[in-house]
Amino acid sequence: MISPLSSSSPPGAPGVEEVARGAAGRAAPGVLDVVLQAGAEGIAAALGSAAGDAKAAASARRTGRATTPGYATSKSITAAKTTSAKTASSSKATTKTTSTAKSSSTAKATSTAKSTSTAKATTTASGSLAFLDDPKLSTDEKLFRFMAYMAAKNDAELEQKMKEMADQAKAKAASASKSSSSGGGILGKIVSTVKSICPVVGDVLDSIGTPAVQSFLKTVSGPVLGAAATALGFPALAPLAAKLGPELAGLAAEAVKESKATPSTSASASTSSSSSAAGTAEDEKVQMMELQHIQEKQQEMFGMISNILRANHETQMSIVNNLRA
Amino acid sequence: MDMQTTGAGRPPHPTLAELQGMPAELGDAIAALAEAELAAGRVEIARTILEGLVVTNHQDADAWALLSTAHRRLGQPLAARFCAEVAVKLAPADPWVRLAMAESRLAQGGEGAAARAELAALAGEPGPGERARSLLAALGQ
Repeated sequence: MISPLSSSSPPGAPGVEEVARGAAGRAAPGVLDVVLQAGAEGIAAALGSAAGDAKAAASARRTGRATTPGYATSKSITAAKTTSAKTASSSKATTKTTSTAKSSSTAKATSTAKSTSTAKATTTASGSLAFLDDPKLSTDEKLFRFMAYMAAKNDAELEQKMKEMADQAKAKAASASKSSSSGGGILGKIVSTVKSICPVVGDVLDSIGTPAVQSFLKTVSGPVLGAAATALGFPALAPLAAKLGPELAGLAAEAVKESKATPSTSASASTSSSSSAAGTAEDEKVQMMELQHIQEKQQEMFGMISNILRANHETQMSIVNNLRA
Repeated sequence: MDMQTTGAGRPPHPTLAELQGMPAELGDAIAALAEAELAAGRVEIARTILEGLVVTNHQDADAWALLSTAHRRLGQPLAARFCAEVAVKLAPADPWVRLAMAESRLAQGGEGAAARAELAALAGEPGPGERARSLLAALGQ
């Protein structure tokens, strides 16, 4: 399979000598020493080419093989280059025309949006913070009113958050009652149906539930799973495997668990209830922390404004005292 | 479902290497580099390189076999077995691939007899025969 490298490399494609040189440069100095010590012929040949040797740079296992499938031939390389060049030029042209066509309409739309948003902002500012523009009010008065405005805003925010918490608690209670009455999720139902139709798929899904297979799916990365799916003749599954990859393990395991769970089993019911209870407690904690955060913000704001007021007062008092002295 | 081939003998789904115009020599050089990293004990780097290679050309049986070796050395026998199975599917007669399969079987445990038989069959091969014989000697045969 391995032909003399420099002669067979197509023009424009990086030559093996370059690659090997780059590799040796990257991995140096350890690789060369180790390889020479180990005496591995193939690797030595690979690195020998980096030193200017004309030998093949392929591994020993690849020598004597016909051709590794899946790589580009010189014809297809030229075709790929032409295609990519064409694609690039056509995409450039498309981009240009699109941008030209769009530019006028975009400008119009932007101006409209801007005017609308500005108008809105102005109305809001003039509505609740109109006192800031009042020339008759002193700075102290403005600060005090601003503090009152912010306090009202924070109070509203707090109230809204508490209402959200109450709604979520209600929704959770409702979903808990539903799940306890039905037993098992949608995934579980799908899996059980598939198992009844095709027992082989059921066996595969059961095996996914085992910890060893789960650990395997987590160790092999998504793209590799995708490549394997394509290599094994399932190219349609490749994007799914590449995208989900390790997550697939958890999802499949969950589905199998759900399919196995029955409403009558007290153990599984207690497990699910305990896990859901833990989840609820965590959610509550998060929500309480959010409330606390809002309150802290309010306190901080109060502190800041009172500090400004105090500083103002002290400045005025110092001026008065100086005048007296 | 078996891999369908077109009239020209090429699979219907081109590899990324073909689309990018990557020559076989470049693939060989990358595989050689990964092998050197494996030999130097930098298994994680080798695994990263080989993962890239199998994604670029999923039909490269040698890359799958080397990835199997990397996984085995990282203590992931199931992943090693998976990669070896893919390699065997792609090139069932390749002695290096068969050696990788036998090694992954040995690492996984439970299939010692099949692994020994495979190693015994490989012992006469010129390339991987030496390693097969060493493994058989270590196994007491």
